[in-house]
Amino acid sequence: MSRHRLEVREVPGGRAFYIDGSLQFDSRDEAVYHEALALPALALAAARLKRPLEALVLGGGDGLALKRLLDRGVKRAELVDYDPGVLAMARDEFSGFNGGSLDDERVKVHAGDAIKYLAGSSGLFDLALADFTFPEDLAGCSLFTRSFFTSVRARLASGGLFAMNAVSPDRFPAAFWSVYRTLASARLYPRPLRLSIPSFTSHGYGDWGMFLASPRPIKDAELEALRFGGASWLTVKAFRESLRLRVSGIEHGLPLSGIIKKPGDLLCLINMQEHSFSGGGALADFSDSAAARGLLAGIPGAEKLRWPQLSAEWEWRLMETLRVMDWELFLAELEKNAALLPGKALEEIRLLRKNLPELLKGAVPDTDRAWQVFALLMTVLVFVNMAYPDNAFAKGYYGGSSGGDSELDITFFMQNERSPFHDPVFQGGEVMQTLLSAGRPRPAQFVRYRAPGAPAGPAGIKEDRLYFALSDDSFVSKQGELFYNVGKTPYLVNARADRFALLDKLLPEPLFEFYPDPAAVQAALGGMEQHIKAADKALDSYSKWLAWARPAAVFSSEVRANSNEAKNIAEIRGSLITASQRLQQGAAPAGRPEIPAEWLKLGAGVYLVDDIEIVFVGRDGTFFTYPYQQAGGRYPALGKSFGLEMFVTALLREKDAQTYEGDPRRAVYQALLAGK
Amino acid sequence: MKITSLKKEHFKLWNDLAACSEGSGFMQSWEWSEFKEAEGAKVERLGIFDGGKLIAGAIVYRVETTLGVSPLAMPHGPVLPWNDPGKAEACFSLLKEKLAAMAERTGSPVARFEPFIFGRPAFLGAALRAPVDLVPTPTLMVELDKDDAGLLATMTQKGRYNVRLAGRRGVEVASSASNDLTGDFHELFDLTCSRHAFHGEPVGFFTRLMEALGPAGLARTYLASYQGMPAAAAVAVFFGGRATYLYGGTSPFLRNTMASYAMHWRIMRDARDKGLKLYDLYGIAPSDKPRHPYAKFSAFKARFGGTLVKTIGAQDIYFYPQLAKTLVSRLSAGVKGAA
Repeated sequence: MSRHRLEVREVPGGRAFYIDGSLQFDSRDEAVYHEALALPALALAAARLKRPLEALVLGGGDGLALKRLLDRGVKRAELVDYDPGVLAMARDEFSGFNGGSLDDERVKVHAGDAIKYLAGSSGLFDLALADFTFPEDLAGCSLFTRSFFTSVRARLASGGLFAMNAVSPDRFPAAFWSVYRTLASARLYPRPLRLSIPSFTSHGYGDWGMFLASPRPIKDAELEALRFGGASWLTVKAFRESLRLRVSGIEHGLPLSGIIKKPGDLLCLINMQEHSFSGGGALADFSDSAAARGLLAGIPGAEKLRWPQLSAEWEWRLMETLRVMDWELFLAELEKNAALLPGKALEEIRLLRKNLPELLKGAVPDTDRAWQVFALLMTVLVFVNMAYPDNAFAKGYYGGSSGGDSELDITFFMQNERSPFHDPVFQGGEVMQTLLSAGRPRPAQFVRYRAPGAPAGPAGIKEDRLYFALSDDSFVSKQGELFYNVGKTPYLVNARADRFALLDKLLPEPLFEFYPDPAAVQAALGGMEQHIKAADKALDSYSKWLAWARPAAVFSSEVRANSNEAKNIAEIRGSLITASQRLQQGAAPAGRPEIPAEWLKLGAGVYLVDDIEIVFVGRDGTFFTYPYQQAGGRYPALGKSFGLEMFVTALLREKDAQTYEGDPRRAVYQALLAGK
Repeated sequence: MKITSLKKEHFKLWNDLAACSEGSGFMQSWEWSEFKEAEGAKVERLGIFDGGKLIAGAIVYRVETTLGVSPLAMPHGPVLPWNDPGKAEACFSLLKEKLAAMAERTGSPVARFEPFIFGRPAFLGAALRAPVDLVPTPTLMVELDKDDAGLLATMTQKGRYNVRLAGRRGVEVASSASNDLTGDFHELFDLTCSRHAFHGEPVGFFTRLMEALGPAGLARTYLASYQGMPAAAAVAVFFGGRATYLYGGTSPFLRNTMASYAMHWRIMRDARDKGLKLYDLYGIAPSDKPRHPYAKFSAFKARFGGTLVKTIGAQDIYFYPQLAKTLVSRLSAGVKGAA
């Protein structure tokens, strides 16, 4: 029984074969893939060896690559595939596509492991093709190691050819160029190939990558002379085009690549989510070996490191690790190993030690070489972490996820009821939301108002934003004013120590000035003091962190968010200090009004007396009657105004809404509201 | 006390110890270590003996690479006598020495451990919070020592309703400790992964998992079907006092059958009947992160009424000599290879 899920899906005009949900071929364009894999190796081997060829196919149990070899008259072929399920399908369902290649009398089929086969047999072949599934586990990756390529090389006749299916050079550039390096290290001189296969592209696999390699260097002239008679897709022009690879992929992949000595090396690179290139950009021509050598020699190591597209939280977590590691101990160990280093690298480590204090102050530009060693260390840590494939949640891609969503709480300071910072609300360019209790954000209110003491005319009107919540009903504005919501009504109170000014959110001029509530002012001052301390603590943590992390803001959205948050917290701290100073200037007028216990409070400075009379407490403590339902009252009457009328109505409506069935106050409020 | 490598003959002794240690879990079971070993991980099983009695230890996992050397990973470990801090500290100190020696041998620059404990004992010392966890935390944990009515009562109203609705609609749940249902499971798992753009393991992984853990009763595959059509499937692991929902998948076409509710309801009851005390829903996204990639799964999990549990998370001990060597080797690696 197959250990894999094999599936054939009917597609318009053909059939598509999947292993474990991953497309292996689509009959409509399989020729693109299999001709590119088989024919250049076959044609070059024929040109070099000028004799009937003997071929080995590793993997490729569907028989489609084998078909190409048989069609062009190989003398003998062996095919090794470990999946008996695939071999059975090749003989049955795919025989219409592969022409019954597995049952050709020139073919010997082995159902078994390719590594074991190579170790346990000894004949030589003129060409070998490797057509394995995408390497997504350690077993799959073991077919891309140096030792595997060395054992393939050992089975090639002198001047023999090896062609292999690799990974996408665009989606997995580091893995692709690691295969390149690994082939080279096994002394198989590689030429990379890039193919656009419509069915692969439509599955999001990107352009596909292959290699043509040989123990004897492949000359440019040999490639130029290749002809592919009878091919349905592979023309000389198409082959020349396939030798052109995207420079962006090389730049992104090569610095991160290495020789695959263990299967885990490749798995580690595959597990990293990499840049998905859009498909454009400059192409490098690998049919010209001198130009390609020049290009590869010009690809720097650490200097132009691009980060694999790990999620932002990954970058954040690694930064955190670097921040807390014991640098003295580490630098001492680095210098102990310095003798092993080439001169330039040794110099860079010395620069790192010398510049570390500067780095920690954030004064070093991101092009500095000391910083680049630092960035390389981050890369090492990425590898260390990705090398272990069982990380929680690391199995999945975070498709389209942007930063900030972290399942770990790695914070510089604890977020609690006293410190609301470290929240996405504060991490944008401007604070446009207010964070309410329980972490609920809501759009910050914009207000226009004439502040106490401001000059008359338009110049005295402030435009302001209530951007920091002390509680769900009290806010400090950007301009350092304290505001209270009046319940859910469209009114605000602008609070100062000597007065509470009532504002309609839509009108700049105060509707009334109440006697201030000293208890509310004291509570607000206490809250401000706590938040100023929390802001100090947060800024202190951020200043240490950003001192050295700021250069990473170029490629880390988390660091940019940190930088914004630090700026915004500093601004909020300024507003809190201004508001606190304003509240401490001046005091409530002497002669604090005594409010009789039986009066029912409707809002700050507004009372309902004897269920009928509305009383306002003026700025100096004087009581006024507002003629709401009745003309007169026990206190001097305020002039009737549309603004105050609406304000009292809003207060009464809100109070009414808070009553319950059978509540005696409901009748009182409703009587007052009747006709309004 | 002495620390030594455990041999096959210690299998039962170790499993008994790991199973009754509260800070441990299935990833410290001997069977899981054999499974991971077969998957290609390097495994070392360390035991700490006190007067000839096995009292602590750790199963240490490592994936050999040369680009970056994997951490010496101890998910759900180490197994220490956490209730006896003095002894736990002595054991941890022995273990650290052994890990440092292993690091020197393997080149690993970091040891990563993640016991299932909720407070960080002082003796963990300079260990740093790891950039990534080995086991999802926080998670939701459902207490199982209740009868059916009790279990239902701990669910949310919607959860309860859906369990009953699935029953009324005739959803049937089958389970297997062998590979009978692995193919069906993987179909649904794969569908779910594609839907959410996650990368899922191939079917071979699950076949091997069931082969390694199934016969010992440590793992079962569950399949909920509606009128014979697979609607939801899961792999659950049972070890120590906890059952764990490790992998799952659903059919988008049969969502209204509420088959996943019936399936988890069955897993919970199976676990309880095996004498297990807790059902670990294996990770939950923070409730204040509605855009978290796992937010939708988490909302579903929350309906089973578990308690939010947050362990100390993965902790790292750095071996600076090895880290320096790894960096130096990367610095020395020039661009080689020729066209």
